[in-house]
Amino acid sequence: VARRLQRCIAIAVIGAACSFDAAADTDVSPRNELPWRVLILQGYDPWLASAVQFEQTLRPTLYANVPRFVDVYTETLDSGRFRSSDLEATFLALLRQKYSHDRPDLIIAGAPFALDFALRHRAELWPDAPIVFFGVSPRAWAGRPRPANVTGQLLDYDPSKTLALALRLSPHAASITLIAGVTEADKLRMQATLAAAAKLAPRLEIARLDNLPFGEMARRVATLPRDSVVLFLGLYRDARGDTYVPVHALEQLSGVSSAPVYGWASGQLGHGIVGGALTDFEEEGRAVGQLAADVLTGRVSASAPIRDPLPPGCAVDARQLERWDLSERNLPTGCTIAFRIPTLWQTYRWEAVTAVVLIVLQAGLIAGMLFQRRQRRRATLEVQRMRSELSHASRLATVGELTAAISHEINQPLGAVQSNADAAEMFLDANPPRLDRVREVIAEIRAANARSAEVVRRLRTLLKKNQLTFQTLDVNEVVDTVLQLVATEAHRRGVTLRADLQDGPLRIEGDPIQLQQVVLNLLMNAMDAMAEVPAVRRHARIRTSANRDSVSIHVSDRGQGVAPGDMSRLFQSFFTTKAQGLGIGLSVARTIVTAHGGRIRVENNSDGGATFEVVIPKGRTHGEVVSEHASNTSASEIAK
Amino acid sequence: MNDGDVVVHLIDDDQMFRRALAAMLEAAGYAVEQYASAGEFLLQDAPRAPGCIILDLQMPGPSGLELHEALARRRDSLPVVFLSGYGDVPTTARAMKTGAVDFLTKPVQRDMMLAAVQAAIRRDANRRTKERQKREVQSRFTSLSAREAQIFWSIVDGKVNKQIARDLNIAERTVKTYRAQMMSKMRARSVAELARMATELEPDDARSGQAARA
Repeated sequence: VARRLQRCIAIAVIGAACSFDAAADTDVSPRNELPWRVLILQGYDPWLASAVQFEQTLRPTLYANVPRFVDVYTETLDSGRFRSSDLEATFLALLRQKYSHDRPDLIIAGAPFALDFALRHRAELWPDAPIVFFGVSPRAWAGRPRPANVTGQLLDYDPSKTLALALRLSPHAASITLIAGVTEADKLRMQATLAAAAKLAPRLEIARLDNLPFGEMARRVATLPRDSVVLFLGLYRDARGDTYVPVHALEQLSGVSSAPVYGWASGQLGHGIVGGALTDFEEEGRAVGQLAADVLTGRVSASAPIRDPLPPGCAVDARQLERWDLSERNLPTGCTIAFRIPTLWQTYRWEAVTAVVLIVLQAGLIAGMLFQRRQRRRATLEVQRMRSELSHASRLATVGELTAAISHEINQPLGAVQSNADAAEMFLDANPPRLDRVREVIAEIRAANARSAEVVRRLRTLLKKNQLTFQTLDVNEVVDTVLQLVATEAHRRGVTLRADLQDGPLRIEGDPIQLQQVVLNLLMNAMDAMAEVPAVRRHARIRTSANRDSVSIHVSDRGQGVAPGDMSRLFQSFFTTKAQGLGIGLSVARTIVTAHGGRIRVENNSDGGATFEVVIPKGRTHGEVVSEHASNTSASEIAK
Repeated sequence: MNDGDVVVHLIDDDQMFRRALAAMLEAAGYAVEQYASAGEFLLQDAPRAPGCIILDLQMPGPSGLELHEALARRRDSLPVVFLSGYGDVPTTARAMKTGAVDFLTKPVQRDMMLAAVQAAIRRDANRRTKERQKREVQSRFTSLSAREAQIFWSIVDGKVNKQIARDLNIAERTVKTYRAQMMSKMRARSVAELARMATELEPDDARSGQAARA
């Protein structure tokens, strides 16, 4: 105390010096004056949630609105937990000693109990200090005489709005349970609540859980029917005399409660209540702080009218709404929703936005690539279609050249049918009819018919428009089929065809018709090449052979051979050395061979004529790249 | 309806067509011999039996035309009926020039085929009759003495007995005797008949006759 006194004196001396300086120097600094002293006299535990909220806003508001330095002291009577009337004398003595020299300039007294104490001992302790009170209900204030130099902010406890909210959220509620302790304040709130409930919901059953030990309260609250609502009015002390921090008691009770719990103070929000029309103690602190500052600076007279209570604000706890499955839609407008569980969107908004942007960009890229791929695929298909058209045209042309031979091929069995039919008729007319011969002849007719059908079938297969379809095939079979097709033509032209086919099936993956066309084109080419040579030299030879991973077809003729200057252009479209040639046979052959992943080349023989070599891989090595290459080839060829 | 001695030789590489045609011809009563190629036919001895050849023009190896040209060079070749899958004009013309009986395109009509075969066989029969007559005349001619042969050629040349007697430096009476003997050996009833026989004599015989005449 002595040290404090010294410090006060020191401050006073410095202050005096400063004020002296200030007289000379008009630049007045707050530090040059003595600080104002403000004493807050709390009626209850200053660590109660509402008290903490109150002082947290009161002090800054006070500091901010006073031009001078303010020292704030807090003393508490804690009447909720102690029998303060027994302690009053001792407490008074302490205050007297603490504040007799450094008298407070302003008393802020909360709750009727503290206000009464301040008023009672005013003359002795702080006769000149004005008193600003808070935490006094209009009803408690109404009965008092108005002392001088006292003003304040009334605090109304109005349970009807909380009740209304509870019933609005639980429209089918059948009962209301009220929880309260046994202190004076608890009792007052209980009475007010009972009155409000009787008025608001006269038909609902009211259960009181106030005059009970805490354990019993907890037990009962845990077994409430689901269709009831609970109001927590406050619990400083239970029937057994145990004291409680109300929000802790609230947390425990709401934790076990089987029905939603409502409250009335902003400090309760977040401690288990669904919500209510809540008295906001931060607002209270701000209002009282402002009033205290105004009184201290003289802006407001200490005898100014008492301020009306601040209206409570509707607020709810989103987590509790969810716990009790209460609908947000039933809330009155303007009701604050606190503790809203942040959605994933709220929590990860930027991550999500970034991810979405990335995905959209990526999707765009993928879509672009797919589009491009589709375009390319379409172009490839178009080229394939054109190639197929060209090869079809080439086949038509080749078959055109073969017409005479083919008509002979078909004529021959037709002639046989004709003669056999004649014979059959004559055998039947004979006396006696030679039925055995007739039967023979009919069998012959059938065979001849099958043969002509086979010719037509081969022809039709060759002329069929078809897409490149790969299957396992035997190269020898392909060559055989073509040999049958051109045999007559070869004879007609006086060309001797010799086939040296390696034994055994020579299997590759390929399109049989397209490969037939290659062989056909090469054989026709060989025969064309020998049109001018003497008949004895007209020998064409086709040879097949298997290599390690490919199959070769060689077609040799004994014609004039290829002129050196023509070698490079031989496989180009529309290049021809023949008078009637279209110049597509060899280019189509090359396109087909390339599409099979193979190659075709030509060489002049040492003894005259030329040999064409086709090599086709056994495995299916034609792929995107190869077929693309083929497409490019044919595309460029078509472009030429 | 035809005598069994007649044989039709059918040369075609197309077995199916060949057998069909053979069946038809057999139904018509002909004996048919089949050959897959011209070579196969040529390897056989020249057929003695009367008949004809049916020859396909489109065959590997020597073509039908080439075969026919070879056959035509043989003395007693059989008449040939040509068959072709496609009767182009140059081929037809060439075939007919070599003495083909007929040229038919496939598929052949039965009546045309049978008519052609009949015509060929008739031609063969005619030829054979002529050959026989020719051989008969020749054998009669060879039975003549040198003097009789001299008188034969002199009469064919249109000379009268007096002229012949002067040429041969013999009496006219002697000429008459030789002439009667010669006419009897040749079984000629008139000078005109004798002249016709003279045309049937082979050049060799004629030459010998000429030599005798000279």
